[in-house]
Amino acid sequence: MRDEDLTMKTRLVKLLYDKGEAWDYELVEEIKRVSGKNTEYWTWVIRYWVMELENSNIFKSIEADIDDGSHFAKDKVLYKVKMTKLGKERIESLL
Amino acid sequence: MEQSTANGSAAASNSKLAQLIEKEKKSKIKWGYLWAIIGAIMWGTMYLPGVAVWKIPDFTDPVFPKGTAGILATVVVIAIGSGVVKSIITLGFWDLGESKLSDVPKAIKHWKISRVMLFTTLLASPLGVGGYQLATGLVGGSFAAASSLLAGAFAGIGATLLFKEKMSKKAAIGITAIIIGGIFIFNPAGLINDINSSGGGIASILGYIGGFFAALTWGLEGVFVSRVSDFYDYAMSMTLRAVFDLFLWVFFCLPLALLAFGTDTIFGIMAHIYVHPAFWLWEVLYVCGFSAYVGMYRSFPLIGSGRGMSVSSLYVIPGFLSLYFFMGEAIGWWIILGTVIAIAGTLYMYSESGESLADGTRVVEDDELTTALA
Repeated sequence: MRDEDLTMKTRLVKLLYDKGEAWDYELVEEIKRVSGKNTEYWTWVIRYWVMELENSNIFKSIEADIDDGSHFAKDKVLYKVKMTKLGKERIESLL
Repeated sequence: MEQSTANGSAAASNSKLAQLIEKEKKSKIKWGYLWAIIGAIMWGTMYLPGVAVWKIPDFTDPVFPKGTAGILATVVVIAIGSGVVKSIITLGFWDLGESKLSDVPKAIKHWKISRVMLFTTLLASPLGVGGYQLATGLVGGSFAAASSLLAGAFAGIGATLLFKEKMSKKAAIGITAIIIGGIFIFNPAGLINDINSSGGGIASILGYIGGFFAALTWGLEGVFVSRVSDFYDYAMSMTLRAVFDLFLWVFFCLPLALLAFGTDTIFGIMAHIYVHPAFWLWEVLYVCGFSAYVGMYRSFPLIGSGRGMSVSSLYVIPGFLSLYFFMGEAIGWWIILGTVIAIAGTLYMYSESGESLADGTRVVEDDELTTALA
């Protein structure tokens, strides 16, 4: 399937699958850019998805840092994430 | 000296990071439970309109076949009306409002995922809702609510067996407490008595089976939706649930009903029910309760479907309260006792989730998982 035919959340998983690993704010920016959803609202929606995916063991965080306010908000945690084995299996079976 | 200061501040910022991570983890679990409770309350508000629509058909009217056939035909007619309102509100209100409408066709077209939702809807809607309606119509609203309380247990067992969701001993104890609470709410002595003494025996047994099916299929719904949630936003799962629902009732159940009961009967019942403005009013209120799915579906990725479904089955409490206040149904001591046990089970489960869900909701074979940020 083409990337632009995927729903936003599926596309987020696919993006990390392609990238290997990435910081959550990079993923958020990229998804906002490709989907043309530019508002602040979408920043939080997509960040929430990253968090859900990590919680469901599709992503795993490998590094963390404190946001100085330049990405989401001051004192939010920034995570660098990677696909888990489960996540890779799932996306491969669905594309 | 300088060296040690630098070390000190690095350590301080590390411990600050660790604290912030800890805080976010706790907040995820807290919100998982909060969403499930919000879902439960919404389910409860759905409950009264769900009973009230059954007061609209006048079963003495000659258009209704006698006995169970009349109830079954009415189930189909009510479900289609409900499906229409559900699809309009979900698409036109929720998805439009959250500006997620453009994702809906993509979500339907990604067949490998959407077919799971179609199957789930088949299970949960014609089988589950149909069973629930039968239980409501043939046995009673309180019974229907009580039996579907078991959905959480089915979800917990299903998710653990099928998709390796984490099920700690304490969570299992919590879910068991919710079931025991449910059995009290069931009032088993009264049930056996009902089955033994009921004049319309077959009709009421059909009602009991309906209640059981509702619980089983709604439990499995939780399991499958939580799997779909890995790729779809909760709003997409909810939308597909509503749209497929309408699709199945119109193209699958309606033809069956037309064959079974005859065109005149079904269209006659439709005319009888749909002309009541009150029917549509109750349906709109009922579907506002459908936003319970917002709470439930949002809770699954955070705390897993077993815990999420179990907590959302607390909806019997607002459900019973609204029946008590608006419909004058009696609340027996066993209902209160059952409720207390079920809530205690939920709190117990919550108290242990911080530990058992700290590294996510599923058991994964990934040795690097816990090391980096533990």
